[in-house]
Amino acid sequence: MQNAAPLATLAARKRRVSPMRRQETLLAALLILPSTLGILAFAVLPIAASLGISLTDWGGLSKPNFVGLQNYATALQDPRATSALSHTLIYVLLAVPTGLAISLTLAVWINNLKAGWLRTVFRTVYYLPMVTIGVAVALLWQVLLAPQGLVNLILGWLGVHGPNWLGSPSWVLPAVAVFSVWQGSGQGIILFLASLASVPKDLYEAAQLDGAKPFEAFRYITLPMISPTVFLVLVLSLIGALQVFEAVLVLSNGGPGDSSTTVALYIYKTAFTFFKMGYASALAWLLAIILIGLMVVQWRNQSKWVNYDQV
Amino acid sequence: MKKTLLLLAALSLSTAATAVNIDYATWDGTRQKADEALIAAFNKSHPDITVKYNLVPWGVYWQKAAAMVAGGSTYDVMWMNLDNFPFYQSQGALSPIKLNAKTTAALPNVRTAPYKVGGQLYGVPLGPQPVTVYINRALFKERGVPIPTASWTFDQMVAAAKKLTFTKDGKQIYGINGADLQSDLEYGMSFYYGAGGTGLIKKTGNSYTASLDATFAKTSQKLLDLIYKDKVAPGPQAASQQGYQMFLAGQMGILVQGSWMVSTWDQNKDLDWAFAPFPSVDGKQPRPVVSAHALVVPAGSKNKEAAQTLVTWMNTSPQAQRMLAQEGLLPTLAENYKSQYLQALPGRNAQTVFAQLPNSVVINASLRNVKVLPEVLTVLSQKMNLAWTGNAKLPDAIKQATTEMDTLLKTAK
Amino acid sequence: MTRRDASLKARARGSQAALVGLLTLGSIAILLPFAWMILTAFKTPAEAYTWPPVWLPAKWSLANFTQLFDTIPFARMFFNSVWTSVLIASLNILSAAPAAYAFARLRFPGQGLWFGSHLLSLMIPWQVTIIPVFLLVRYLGWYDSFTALIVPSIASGFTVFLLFQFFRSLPRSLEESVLIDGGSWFTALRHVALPAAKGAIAAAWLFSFLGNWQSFIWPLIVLQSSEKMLLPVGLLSLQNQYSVNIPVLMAGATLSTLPTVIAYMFVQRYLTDAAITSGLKG
Repeated sequence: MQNAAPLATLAARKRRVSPMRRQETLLAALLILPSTLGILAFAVLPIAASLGISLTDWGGLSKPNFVGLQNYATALQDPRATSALSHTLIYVLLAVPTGLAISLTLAVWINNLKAGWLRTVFRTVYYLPMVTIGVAVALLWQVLLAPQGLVNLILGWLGVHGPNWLGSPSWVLPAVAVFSVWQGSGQGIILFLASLASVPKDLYEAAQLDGAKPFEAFRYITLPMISPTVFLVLVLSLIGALQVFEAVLVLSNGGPGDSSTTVALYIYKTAFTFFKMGYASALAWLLAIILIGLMVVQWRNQSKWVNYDQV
Repeated sequence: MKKTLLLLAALSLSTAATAVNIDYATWDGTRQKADEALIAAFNKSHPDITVKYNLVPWGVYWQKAAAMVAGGSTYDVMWMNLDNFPFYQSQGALSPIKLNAKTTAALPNVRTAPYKVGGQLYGVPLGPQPVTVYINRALFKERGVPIPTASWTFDQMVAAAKKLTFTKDGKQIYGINGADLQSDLEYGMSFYYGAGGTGLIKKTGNSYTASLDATFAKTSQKLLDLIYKDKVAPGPQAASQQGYQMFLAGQMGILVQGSWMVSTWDQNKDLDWAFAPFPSVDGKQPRPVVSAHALVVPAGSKNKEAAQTLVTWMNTSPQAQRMLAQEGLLPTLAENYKSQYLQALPGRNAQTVFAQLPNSVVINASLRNVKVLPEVLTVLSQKMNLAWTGNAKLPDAIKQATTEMDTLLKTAK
Repeated sequence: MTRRDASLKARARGSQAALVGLLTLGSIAILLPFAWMILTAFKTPAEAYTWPPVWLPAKWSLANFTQLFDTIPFARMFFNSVWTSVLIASLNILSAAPAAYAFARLRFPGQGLWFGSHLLSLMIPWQVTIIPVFLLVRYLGWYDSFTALIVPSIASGFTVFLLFQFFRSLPRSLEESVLIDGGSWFTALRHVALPAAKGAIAAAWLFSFLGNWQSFIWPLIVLQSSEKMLLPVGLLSLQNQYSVNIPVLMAGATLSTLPTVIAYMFVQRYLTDAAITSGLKG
C-alpha cells in the first residue's frame, strides 16, 4: 500500500504523454532506425570489443589473457606514447587553425566574386586536391617538399631560405600540416560556400545602408550566420587531425627518427608490426578519451558563439 | 535432348573430378609474370589442383594476413618473411610441412634452419635474395674508373664513388646510394657483417642485451661518411629521389640493393648495368645479407595437402627451379641452376651473385624467438635514422639506441 | 550617374580584380601538383627520376598507360570502384538524412545516447576496430562479397553529424508553419527541410563518394577475388616493397581522378546558391 501514491503519480505522468509526443517518438524511431542499427552493429559493437581487447594481452591470433588495466598503466609510462601524443598535439595546433582560416578566407573570397562563372571555376579548382588518391599525391609532395623542390624555390623568390622539410625533426610536422591543409581545405571550402550562400543578401544591403565596412559586415553578419558551419568544420578537422595517420605514413613514415610518429601511426605499428593488439586498443582508448573530452568542451562552448536558427 | 543431358552429365562429372582450388598469396609484384607462369605450369601438370594467384600489395600484406588468420579463413599458400614468421608460428597459425627424405636432403640446411621450430619445418624457403652491388658501367667508363674485380675493397669503392660524383649537363651524378646504407638495415648491415660484426643483440645466459659494439660504430661511421664527409652520396639535403631511382635514371654510379631489382632495371633499356662484387672491409671476407623468405601453409587452410604439393613443387621441382632461373630469379636450389640464371642475364657479370652466396648471412637468424624483436629493431632504426638524416651525432644515436633497446629487451622477460 | 556612384563602382571593380588575382595565385599552388602528376604520366622512368626534375617529357609517350592496363585489370577495377562508391554514398544519405533530421528537430527518449553513439564512431581510430569488424563480417558469412564492402559502410557517423549540423541551422519557422497548418513532422521533413538542405546533402554525398573512392584498407581486407578488387588497391599494388614505378602509378592516378571530377560536376549545381536559397524561400 505504501507504494500506491508514487505509482499513481507515475500513471498520471504516463497519461500526460500527449498523442502528439508519442507520434513524434514513433517517427523519430523510424527515422533513426536504419542508421542507428548500422552504427550499433558496425561501430559500437567493434568499439566495445576493442575496449574488451584493451584489457587483455591479445596479439591478434592466440587466446587473449585478461590483464586488467595493465595496458593503460604501461601506456601512461611509455615514453614513445607520450612523444607520439606531443607530435599529434603539435600537428593539431598547426593544422587545425590554419586549415580553418584558409578555407574560410578562400570561401569568402570566392563567394564575394560577382561573376557566376568565376565562382564556378574557382570552386572547382579548390575542390581538386580532395579527389586525388593518397599515395600518388604523397609521392608528388615528396618531390615538392624536397630541399631543392618547388616549395623552397617559391620561398626563395620571397627571400626565405626554405628548410629541409621532410628531413628535419622540427620541420616535418609543419610540412605534414602544409600537405594536409592543401589536401583538406577543399572540404571546408565546399561546406562554407554552401553555408555562405544561405545568408540572406538583404542583410548585407541593410548593413551597407547603415555604413558598415566590409570587415564589420563579415564580423557581425556573416560570421554569426555561418557559425554552425564553422563549428562543424572545426569539430571535423579536430577529429581528423587528432587521428592523423595516412599523411604521416606516406609522407615521412613517422620520421626522421620518430619525430613525426603520431598516436594513430604508433597505434598502427603497435597493432600490426609489434603484434600487441591489446596494447594498441588501450592506446586508442586513451586517444579517444582525449578526443571525447575536447568534444564535450567544444559542445558546451557552442552556446557562446554558435547561433542556430537566427532567421 | 539426350545429347545435352549426356553433355551435362559429363560436365558435372568433370567438375567433380577437378576438385581442389587453392589460393596463393604473395606481396612481390616484381615477379608476377614468373609466378603466373609457374602457376600455369603447375595447373597443367597437376590437373587435380587449381591454383589462383593473389598479389597483396606489400603496404597492406601483413594487415590482410593478420585479419585473415584471426578470422580463420586464409590463403592456402602464403609468402612469409623472417620478421613475421616467429609470431605466426608461435601463435599456432602455421601448419607443419612434411617433406619426403629426398627433398629434405636436397634443401640446404642453412636456408631451412630459420623456418624450423623444434625440429619441425614450418616453411619451405624461396630462393635466396642477396644484397648485391650494381654498377653503371657507362659512368665507370666515362670517368675512367676500372670495373671492380673480386678483390675490390671498401676504400677502392669510396675512391671510385668520388670519381663518379660529378656534374653532367646540369645534372648531378652521385657515386653511391649512401642514404640507403643505414648500418642497422639490410644493405648497410652487409658491410657490418663484412667488417666482422656478429649481430646487434647478444644473448648471455637467458637474457638479451643490445650489442652495438666498436665494429658497428666504425662501420656506421664509414657509411655515414659517404654522405657527410666524402660527399659521394646524396643525403636528405640533396634530393628527394631514392637511390634506385637515381640509378635507374643513370645518375648514380654504384648502387647497393637486392638481387630482386633486376626486373626493375628493364624499365630503362639504355641503362648499362652490371653486378659487381661486394667490397671487402679491412681485408675481411665480404658477407652480404640475404633475405630468406619462405612459402608457408596457414593452419586455417582447408586444402593443406594440395597446398603442400604446390609449396614443394614451386620450391624444389626441377621444372619450377629452371623456370625461375630462366627469368633471372634465384630459385631455392640456386647453385644447381646457375647456368640458366647466367643465360637469363647475359653480360651482367651475374656469376658474382653466386660467388658471394656461400658467405652470405641471414640477419638476426638466432634471435627469432625474442618476442619484442620487431619493436627493438624499430627503436634502433629510428635512432640511427636521426644520425643518417644529419639530425643526431652518431655516438649519441648509438648510445640512445642501446639504452632504449636494453629497456625493451628487459621488459620482454 | 553621380561621381560618387562612379567612384564606388570603380572601387568595387578594383576589389573584384584583387580577389581574382589572389584566388588565381592560390589556384596555381593547387594546380601545380596536378600538372606534375599528369606530366609524369607521360614520361619515361628515367625522365621521371631525373634530379633536378624536368617538367616536360622529351617525348610524350603513352607507354605508361599501356603498361598500366597490362599490369592491373584497370577497367574492371574502375567499374567496381564507380558503382560501389556511388551506391555507398547514396545509401549513406538515405540512412543519414532522416536520422540527422530526427536528432536535430525531434524530441524522443534516448536521443542523446543514440546521437552519442554516432559521434563515438568517429572517435575511435579504425586501426583497432578493423579486426573486430572483420571478424563480424566473417561471422555473417560475407567475406569476399560486395555485401561486406557495402553494408558496414551504410551508416556513417560523419554524414549524420554533418547533416545534423545543417538541419539545426535551418530556420524553424518554416517547419512550424507546416505543423500549425496541421501537417506532420514527416511533411515538414519532406517538403521543407530536405529541399532546403539540398546543398548540404550534395556536399555530404560528395564527401562520402570521395571517401569510398579512395579507401583501400577495408576493401583489401574483406575482398579477395581479383575480379572484385577496387581501383585504389590496384594502384597500391603498383608499389613494391622496395620500388615503385612512379610514371605508371601517375598514369593510374591521373585516370582515377576523372570520375571524381565528373561526380563533382554532377552534384555541383546543387552546391550553388540558387538551389539553397530557393529551398529556403520555397
